[in-house]
Amino acid sequence: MAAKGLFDNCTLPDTFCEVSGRASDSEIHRLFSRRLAKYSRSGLDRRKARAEEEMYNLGITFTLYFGDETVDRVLPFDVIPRPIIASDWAVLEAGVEQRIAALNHFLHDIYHERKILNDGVVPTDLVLGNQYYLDQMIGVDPPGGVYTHICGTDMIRDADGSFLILEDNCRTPSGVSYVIENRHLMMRSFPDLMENARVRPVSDYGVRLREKLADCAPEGVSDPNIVLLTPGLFNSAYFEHVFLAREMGVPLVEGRDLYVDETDQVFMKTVCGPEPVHVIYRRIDDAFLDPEAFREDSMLGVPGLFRAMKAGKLAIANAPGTGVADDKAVYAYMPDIIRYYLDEEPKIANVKTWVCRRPEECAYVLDHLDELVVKPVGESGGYGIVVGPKATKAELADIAKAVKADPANYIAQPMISLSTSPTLTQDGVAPRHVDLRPFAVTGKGTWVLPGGLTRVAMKKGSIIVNSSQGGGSKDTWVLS
Amino acid sequence: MERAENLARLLAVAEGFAAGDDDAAAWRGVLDTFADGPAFAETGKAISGLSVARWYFIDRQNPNSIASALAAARENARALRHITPTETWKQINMLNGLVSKLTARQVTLPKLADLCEAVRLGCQTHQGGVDGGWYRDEAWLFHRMGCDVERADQTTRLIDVKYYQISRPDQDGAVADTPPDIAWWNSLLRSASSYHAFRRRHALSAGPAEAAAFLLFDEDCPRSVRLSVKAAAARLGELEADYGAAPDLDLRAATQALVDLLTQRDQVEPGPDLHTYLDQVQVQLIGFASRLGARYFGPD
Repeated sequence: MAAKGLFDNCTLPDTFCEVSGRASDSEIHRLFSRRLAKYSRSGLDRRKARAEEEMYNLGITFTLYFGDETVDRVLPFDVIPRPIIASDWAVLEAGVEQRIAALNHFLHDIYHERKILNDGVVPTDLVLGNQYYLDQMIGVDPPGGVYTHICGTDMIRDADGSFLILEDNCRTPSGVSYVIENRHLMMRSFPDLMENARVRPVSDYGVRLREKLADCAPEGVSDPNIVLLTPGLFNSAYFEHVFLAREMGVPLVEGRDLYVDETDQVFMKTVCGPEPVHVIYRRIDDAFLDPEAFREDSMLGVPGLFRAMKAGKLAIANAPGTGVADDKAVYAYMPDIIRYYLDEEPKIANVKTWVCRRPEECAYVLDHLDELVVKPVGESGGYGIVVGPKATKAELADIAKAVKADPANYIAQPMISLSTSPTLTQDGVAPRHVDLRPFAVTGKGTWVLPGGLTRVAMKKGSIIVNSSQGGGSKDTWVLS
Repeated sequence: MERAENLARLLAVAEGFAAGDDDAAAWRGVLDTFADGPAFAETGKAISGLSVARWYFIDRQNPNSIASALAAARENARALRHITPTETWKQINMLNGLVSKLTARQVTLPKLADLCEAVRLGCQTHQGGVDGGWYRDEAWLFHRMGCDVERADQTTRLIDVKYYQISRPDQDGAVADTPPDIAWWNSLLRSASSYHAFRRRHALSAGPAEAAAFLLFDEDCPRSVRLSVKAAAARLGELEADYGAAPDLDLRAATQALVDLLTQRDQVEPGPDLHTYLDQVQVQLIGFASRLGARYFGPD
């Protein structure tokens, strides 16, 4: 290992280290082994405290509500960046582009000809019976032909440093604001470290997003009016909605600011009168988007939005009904989906997944429950997951019963070893497990933000990177 | 923010002129400024410097406290964060953080001046961020109009309470036959940050009537009611000229009535006439603000 001093003891056996695993890269050597390693422990602590104070002052916070009281919490920020070298990034970028191309083909197909179902590549009931499959979308052509305009792909790295895809988030992925704010914090806290560093910028995300959304404007609209639709002030991701509206330079609206007229045109109410709206980047779930088409009791949405989209007068990003592709069982078929539509091998592999709806795989899972991680397919946010090696006998018996009763509801994966990245902890710089969520925007073509959200499990040995369970984040440096 | 700043000003002045914690009359004056006597009585506490200062500084149960004003400003700023300058959000956020963390024990009379100073400077820094950083769009015009109305209202309350105090009969029914001492109107001017300007403009002999007229009608005093009202009317004109967002008939009438009320006289006599006049101004200001809201932000 090339790093010394500060970075001693920063690797774990059989685990890829994001820094020392690529120590032969000259830019990693220059920035980490030579520059960053010269900082003192107390200097790093001081800069970390200042960075977190700045996050608090800037309100880069989650808002938690306890009755009338509000509490703002900052996502813990680690000041040691996670680097990705140029050649690794090239693989990742191509893999994400491929994945999103396949996802958009898949979504179009399942709402039109259903060739992939008829050819038996993906089970029909898995798709049509999915809770996120929307019958209303059958035969609807979203402007520009794009379903998942904004996509966040969760990835991990295995022991030899290969990326694996853990999850596709193609409904309303969040977290991109942290990618950009983390960079601002680094530039402010470490101007000396950042000087002449060949780190690719992330600051043009808003411009790129707006450009891709404009690509998907309804036909005949050359300079579309784009808005960001938020559920409102009390949403925990409200900061991100504000951030994205500001970065794109578009109005931030709530449902009550919009209406759809009898010609299916969407308008925004302004003090100067109504203005037409052509593209909506919505941060509201499908069910609440339009009480006329989906849940009637929705107070957040706008009656008629879906009608406007069907009439070809509105693009909704992401399109309704993309949640099918987020499903954990559909995920297991993604390599087949890529081969089917693109006639290519997947450029980034999935994590090995056993689909319990296949009898032989179910049998294997039931035999190896104590080694596997079992996940219900329709849940997100870590709910209902049973980690075999850490489960009690009673928990294993319960999950066995549940899998036998409803095999189609479960998948299983091996215990995954996440890579580590050197992280500033109370015991000095130490290895901590990380994942990565790169963000991609799609209009005419796909653009992958050179960076991504690196979440880090701040607790020693933990592989849970979720913010609700002590996870933090760090700046992701894509080197050039 | 405007309200928080005015409160901080008023508390600092009250603290400076009160003869200590048990000078109940002086502190009752503060409550009277905002007609808050009954609301304070509900707390069950006796009127003292400390109890009133804490109630106005940190009590979130009091909707007119600095803490409540800042928390409300922060919630509003959060909703508008995509169009306001980043610095202003940061400043409101920091100031609200500072005040919301204060415990009762940290708010003492010896520290009150420093705390008020911190709030005042915090609010002025915010104003600097607005002036220097906010794109001059329609949202800015509305922001300015809100400040103008709030400022005009606060100034009328300030004048009203001072004159109410000096013109009020004592327990025996006698009205003061000597003019209030110089400290009274100095404190009034100081709470409106207008003492030095008044001194420059007026002869040494100028008294309460001139001081009140200065705060009501001076064309150049930034906290005068007339200047604030004319500024609000001018911004409404800009909104129409630059954005085509014309006021409706109700709003036009309310604006004209308010401007007329402030421009058709230049003098006031302290006493019941002044109180009636200030009342009228406050009623018209409230009418203007509600018609402004109805025209531009009401349901279709």
